[in-house]
Amino acid sequence: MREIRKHFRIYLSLVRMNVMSQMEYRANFVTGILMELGYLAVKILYVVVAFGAGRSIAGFTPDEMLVFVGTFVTATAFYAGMYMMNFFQLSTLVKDGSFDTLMTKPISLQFMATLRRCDIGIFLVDSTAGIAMTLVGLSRLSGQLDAWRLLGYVFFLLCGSAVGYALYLIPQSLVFRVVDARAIAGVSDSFWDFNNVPMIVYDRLGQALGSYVLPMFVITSFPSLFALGRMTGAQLVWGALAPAVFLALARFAWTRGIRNYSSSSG
Amino acid sequence: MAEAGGKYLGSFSLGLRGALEYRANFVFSLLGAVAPVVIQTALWTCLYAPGSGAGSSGDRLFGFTYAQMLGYVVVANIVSRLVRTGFEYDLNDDIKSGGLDRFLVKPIDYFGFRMAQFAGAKSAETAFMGLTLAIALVVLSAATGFSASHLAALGFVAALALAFFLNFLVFWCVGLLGFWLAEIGFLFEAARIVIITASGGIFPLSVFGPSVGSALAVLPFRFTIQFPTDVLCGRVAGADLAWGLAAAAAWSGLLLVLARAIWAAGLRRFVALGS
Repeated sequence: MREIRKHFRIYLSLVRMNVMSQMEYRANFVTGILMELGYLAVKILYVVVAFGAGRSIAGFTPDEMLVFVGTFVTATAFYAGMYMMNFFQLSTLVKDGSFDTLMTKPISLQFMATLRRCDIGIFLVDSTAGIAMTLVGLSRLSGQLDAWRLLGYVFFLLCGSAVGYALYLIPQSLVFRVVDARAIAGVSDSFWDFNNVPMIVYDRLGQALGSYVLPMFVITSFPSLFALGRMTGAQLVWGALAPAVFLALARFAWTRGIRNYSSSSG
Repeated sequence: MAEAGGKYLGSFSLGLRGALEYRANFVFSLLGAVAPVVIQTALWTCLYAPGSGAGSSGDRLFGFTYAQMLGYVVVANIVSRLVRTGFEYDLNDDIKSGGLDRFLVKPIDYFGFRMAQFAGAKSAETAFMGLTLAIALVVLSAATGFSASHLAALGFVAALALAFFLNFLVFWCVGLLGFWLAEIGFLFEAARIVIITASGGIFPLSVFGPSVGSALAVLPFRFTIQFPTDVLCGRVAGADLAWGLAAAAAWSGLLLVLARAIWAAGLRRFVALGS
């Protein structure tokens, strides 16, 4: 428990340092926000297509689609704002030997390598837009907003975020073997986009694979399904259990991967 | 003349070897093209499904039948992956670090060097993706009755060659902003996503509605993805194909002039100390 408190304090300090550093390079901060707005526009395009077509998607209305895409955007705030850039930089750290410096720190190496950088601009853009889209979608669906649904929604969103972290850390553990893992990060990143559309658009096999094997749908479809009152009992249980299972798997993959690391400066 | 050709052939070879150096990275980058195809195919399949409010099997959405839309999704995603650049980061790095001065004193044109290197890096990917495209067309033909004529295939090769050059020029111009802006890594990404969207690389431009779609059709971007895709899918043929190729060539010429002007203006600002 003391270790968790210590890491939490360090994390807050890292966030503060990241904010200060971002404020120092304001042009980068602004262009970072522009980039995220570009990605946001692409996500919104999926809603535009749903509304433009004026058709239901596997029994879900365009307003329900808005809830799914809104949740996806909110989850992206955690993904792109808190850990993605760390995964993308892992290759460089290993290649140029800077990873050695992280190993000397008296705190968890996984924590330092995967959470030390964050982007508050991206986090704010995505969380604001995502929450707004979700609330608009829910408010257009009569009788969907109550405290219980909202609490459950937040719970599954946090669970989804933890699963997202674990799921994207596992392939990154290969960086210690292949060294140049930028494309692995790129592929993982493109898989993130599977959440651009709700899980219900995929066939039964795709839904099963995306829920239980590579549980991408736990990240954004599960919270939306809960908010819309369409979550099954099995999804409810798995949505709560998946973070523990996948965080343990990610830890295992990381510790195994790190054994292959050989310092480029050593 | 032969010596000049040798320089750029060497640059081509450098790009090719660079692309093949990290083979695992290369294979994973190709895998990245699969995800958007699966996502969009699933979405369109749902939207065209009988229970969604769709009409008959000849039902159209945004001007496309189901078979045409699937053809568009597959071909546009492959074309998007093929014409994708990445050299703008190296260009920016050369400007920022002052490394550009090494090239300025060498008997090689920097634009030609980057162009040849880009072509080399793309050649391996093009060979693999060309094969993937051929397989995808056979599968599409069996599944949806999609067909591409020999003439469409020839037109596609010409449109794709122009798309390579045009996209290179677009991102060359974007990359040259490095002469004026110090930190533009994120700006490249922002520009990339906007350009891909405006090129029809995510959805056909008709999705944006008639007014926005028409405005985007006037810009050069659609010639990098939507135009080659439409040619192969048979939506553009005959006089429209000839006009489109001429328009893409004209845009390339215009951008080449613009690129040269930006380069000259940028060089006047360029300062390299102690590099």
